[in-house]
Amino acid sequence: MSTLVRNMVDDSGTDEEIPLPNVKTAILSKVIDYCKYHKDSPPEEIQKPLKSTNLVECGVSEWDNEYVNIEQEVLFELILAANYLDIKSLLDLTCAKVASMIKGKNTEEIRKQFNIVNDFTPEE
Amino acid sequence: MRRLQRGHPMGVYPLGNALFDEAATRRRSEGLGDFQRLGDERVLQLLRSLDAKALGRCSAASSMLRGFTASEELWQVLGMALLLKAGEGRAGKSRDGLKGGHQLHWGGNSWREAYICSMGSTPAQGKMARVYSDVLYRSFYYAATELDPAWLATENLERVSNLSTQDFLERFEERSCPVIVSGCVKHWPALSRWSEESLVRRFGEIPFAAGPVDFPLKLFYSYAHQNMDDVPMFIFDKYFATRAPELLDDYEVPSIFRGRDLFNFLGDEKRPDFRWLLIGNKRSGSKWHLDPNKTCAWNAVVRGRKRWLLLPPGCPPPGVHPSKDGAEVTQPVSLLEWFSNFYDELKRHVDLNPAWDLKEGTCGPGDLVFIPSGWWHCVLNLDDDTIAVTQNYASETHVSSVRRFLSEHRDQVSGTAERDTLAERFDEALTRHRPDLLFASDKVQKPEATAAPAQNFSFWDHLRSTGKSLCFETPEEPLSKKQRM
Repeated sequence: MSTLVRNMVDDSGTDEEIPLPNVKTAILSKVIDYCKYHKDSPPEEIQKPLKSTNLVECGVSEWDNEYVNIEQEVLFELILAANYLDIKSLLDLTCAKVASMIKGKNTEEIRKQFNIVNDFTPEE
Repeated sequence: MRRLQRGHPMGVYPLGNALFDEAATRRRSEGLGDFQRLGDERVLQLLRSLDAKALGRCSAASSMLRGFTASEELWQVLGMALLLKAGEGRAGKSRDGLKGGHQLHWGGNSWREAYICSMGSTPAQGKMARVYSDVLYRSFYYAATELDPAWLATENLERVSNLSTQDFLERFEERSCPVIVSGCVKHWPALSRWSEESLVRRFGEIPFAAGPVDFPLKLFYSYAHQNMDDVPMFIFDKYFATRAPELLDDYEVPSIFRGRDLFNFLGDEKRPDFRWLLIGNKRSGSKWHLDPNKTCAWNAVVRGRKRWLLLPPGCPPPGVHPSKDGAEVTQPVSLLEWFSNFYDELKRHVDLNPAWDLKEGTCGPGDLVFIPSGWWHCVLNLDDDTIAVTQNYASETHVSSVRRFLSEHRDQVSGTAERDTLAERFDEALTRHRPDLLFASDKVQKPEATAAPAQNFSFWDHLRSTGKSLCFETPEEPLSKKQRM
């Protein structure tokens, strides 16, 4: 499921250790949970733009929806891990989760949620 | 397009410029907040999941987010969704039952402006704070960068004015040799009848295919004259014979090709797609590719000019990476990006390797180019309102390769709904009409140019070979000597 790992295995075989310096242990363990679950059942493509803030209504399975019901900090780490390991479906899922957290909020709520500072001048 | 030369309309600059702006780091971290650690590519990916309203609310959050949410690719998707919906409406199959709904109107200079205007609002104007991002700047750069005259200088594509079918077969088709024939279409009424003005008058409301969407012709031209796309859309329509049948009266298959398409034996309903109408403004064009099903092709320019580059089978250029099975081709996003980064390298390689038979030429009105089966090619429109018609055909000369391709690469067969069975159906048709061809091998006299077998240009080779220095400069603000790195 991870294109990075697959390419490394293709290049060096399965006996070699695969170094993954950019992924913390706890996050890697969570990624492995995802891969184990989806090993034989690839998830549906998530429709863009999101129809609703409820991911299940956007085609995400209950399990996946629960899987990303986590602290924002961990969610962002997962995005970076999925990107680094090149696991497209996990990247799509985690990004969709963050997008669902943006959708439905007004501008001030978006700023609060993601610690964004309003730097417009009054005229802008 | 003049507008683009003055700099990115939303105040986006290449990332390196941030080094000269003291406030840049703070503005980036405060303006992106938690999103900063994801990197620009991921932030754009997040935004792709948002609808227009959510994008609007994000754009008001900070100047960084305004820069990101202004990214044309986001609004192009939304604009194309409107076109798709309009298409479904026309076909009476509106999926979510919405009657009417918003139509895409081309107001302004970009997908963003067009979408906002189509929703009945006015796009925000006014001074923009600077946003530094290579990811955001890149598509603007390739939308605005000038064509280097060096890319258009070489003309080594052979030209003939007219010739008999036998001559054409012996000198070109059977030698797998591209050529420009300048005399075989000059009688076409299309040459005097086809132009933006007359086509819009006759067919302005009729939708034509431009990639995944249909564009009413008049709307298409409005878009084509005023956009910021690094990959400008162009009309490439295989249905024009049913959508605008009068166009068929304006041209005819040149005599050197007439009646020689073996796929004709399959009948109109069951044969792969074979003819396309092409309309695009300058800078639009096709990236490097191989034509489907090992067919040969001819492409006749009716108006405007096309720049052609062709390479023999087995010789994809640097920067273009077909997968092992050939099903996918990885290359830069826009053709101009390929030219900017890889054209010089290709020329250097060609200088050192005479087996790399690079053909370059420009076709004007009345010129027809012949593309032999299996040749790599890319095309760039040089003028606004460049109009052409093109047809592909399964040639007797290459019948053996065609049959082998249909049978061994069924998943890559294209242009027909029943791709798995095309091999058998084609053989059946040949059995009925030309059984002799079932045992023919390709008539091509010259062995397929297997130069240095599909050389892989690695990124490292490319970096070493450019010899370019790095320099950060935007069009309106060339750095002072002191600042230049």
